[in-house]
Amino acid sequence: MIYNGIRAFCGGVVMGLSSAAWMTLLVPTILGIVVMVLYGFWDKITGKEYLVTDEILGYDQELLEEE
Amino acid sequence: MSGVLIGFLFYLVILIYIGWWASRYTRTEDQYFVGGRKVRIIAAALSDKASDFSGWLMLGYPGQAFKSGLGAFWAAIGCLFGTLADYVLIGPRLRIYTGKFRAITVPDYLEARLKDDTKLIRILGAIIILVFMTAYVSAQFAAGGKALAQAFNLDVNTAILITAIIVTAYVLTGGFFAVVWSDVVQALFMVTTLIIVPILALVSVGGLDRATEIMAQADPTHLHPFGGATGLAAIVFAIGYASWIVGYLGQPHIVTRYMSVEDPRKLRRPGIFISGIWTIIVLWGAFFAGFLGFALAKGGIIHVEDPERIIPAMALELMPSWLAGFVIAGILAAIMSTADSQLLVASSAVSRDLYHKVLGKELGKKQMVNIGRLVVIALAIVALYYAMSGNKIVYAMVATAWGGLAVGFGPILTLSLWWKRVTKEAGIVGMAYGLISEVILESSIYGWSFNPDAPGIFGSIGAALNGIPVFFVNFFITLLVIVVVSLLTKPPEDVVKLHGEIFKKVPVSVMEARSKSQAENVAEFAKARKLA
Repeated sequence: MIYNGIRAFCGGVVMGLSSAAWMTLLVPTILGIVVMVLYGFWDKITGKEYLVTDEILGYDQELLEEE
Repeated sequence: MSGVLIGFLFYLVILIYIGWWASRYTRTEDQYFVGGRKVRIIAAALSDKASDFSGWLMLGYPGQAFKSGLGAFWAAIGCLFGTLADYVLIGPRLRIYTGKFRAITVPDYLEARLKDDTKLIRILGAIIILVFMTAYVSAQFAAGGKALAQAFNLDVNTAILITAIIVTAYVLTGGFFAVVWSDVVQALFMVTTLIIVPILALVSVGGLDRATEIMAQADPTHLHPFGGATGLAAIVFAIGYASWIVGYLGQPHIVTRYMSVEDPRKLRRPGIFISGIWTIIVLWGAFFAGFLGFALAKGGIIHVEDPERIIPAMALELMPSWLAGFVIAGILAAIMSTADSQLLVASSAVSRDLYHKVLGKELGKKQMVNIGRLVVIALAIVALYYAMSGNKIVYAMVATAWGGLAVGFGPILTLSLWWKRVTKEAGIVGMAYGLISEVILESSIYGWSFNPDAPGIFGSIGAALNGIPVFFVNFFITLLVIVVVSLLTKPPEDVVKLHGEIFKKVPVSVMEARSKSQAENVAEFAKARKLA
């Protein structure tokens, strides 16, 4: 699929879809994956994370007692 | 037919088991509405997406791809980036605030965050949820009716009634735990269905080359990224479909999943990866099912009268009956996983926000859960009435409800999480404006998108914004209203201070050390001192 997209990007029609059509399908999908990876590892990239305490976790007490 | 029935019954047995299992863990409001804030991330993330993607994904969206072709992919783009925006802008911060406030509904959170002692935010929030969520549930019942009617050759209204009974029954039994864990099963059904169907369609039509050849002969605009539009019209076309993105920020049945997760940090990793990858797969699958379905229909391989029934039609005509049963179950899974979450959120708006908090009625924990259950039944009956008497066009029904919730909650929710200056006055004005304007603009003036046919000055505005969804523009107007009113008023100092403190970031190493058990810390200390 990506190979077809690159071929289409270089001009011409691949499997009946124009380069613009392949770009519409592939570019946003790839961008989405990039956003996912960047946000997913943002704590590793910056070295900082939200301070999460037991008060913030706020688990239901009855549920904790059962466990 | 019997194979289809077996597949469908197998799916129902799984649901009944989950409902029974979850009912043992549902005794308090906390547990009934947000799973005690201790739901595992894999369940919360999959439940988030299963609740988000409804009958719209299995019927409405493939129907649009069938009718509009490649241009409909812009809706998938909007949904993908909407999903990511939810994790980046809403999820972790909302979980942190709601854990701190012990909030179990979105109005609960907004009232606490904006320190609203007038109860107006809670009342407005509950009304927005009731009006638009009931409409949303009726869209799911209508979608379930379409799928069951196609699969079992039933009358649509009978099929709608069956869908409503099944969904209501298992929301009543298990509450949030039942909904979340059945969502996980349903998410797996959905993703499997949307992998199988387009592959089968591709094989049946003879490959993508052959499909595009048929489409080019039947309607060349099907292969154009903007449906044949150019210039400004192309931009309006793309916005029309991709506008779903802003709606993600204000859907209570989706953001409640973030409030339930065991740890806000897990929404970052692995949460966004689970949701993001699942979303990409199902959106590609649903799009190609409709896109290739058009080629199958034009090529005379299958026959379908209603484009929104393209997936059930493909399953019944192209697959062995046991596999078709599995696909029908996948469609119902999408419908039910959304309807159950919405019923639960709408029920919380009445039992928790109005009855418990506004009217100040507090019974025992069990009685409050039972009141929630009674409200579920009442709402299901209203939604059932609208589903049976309405036009049953799933895409339009979902779009209207989605828009109302987006404008009512999206701007205030986003600003309250990211801007310390937002005030309760701004929240009240913004939410009231969102509710009233959406109801009037969508029900009496324009419908879902702007058009020049509206009366008077609205016609001129409609002509200028022709084709753009009303809620998309209204979202930004509401955002502006909240910003302006916030700047004209002043938030309490303790609210501003808390906002600054609660999102304080610390080095990752500090958090890792806190997460370790006491025994691990002692062992590490001993090792460092060479005591061990």
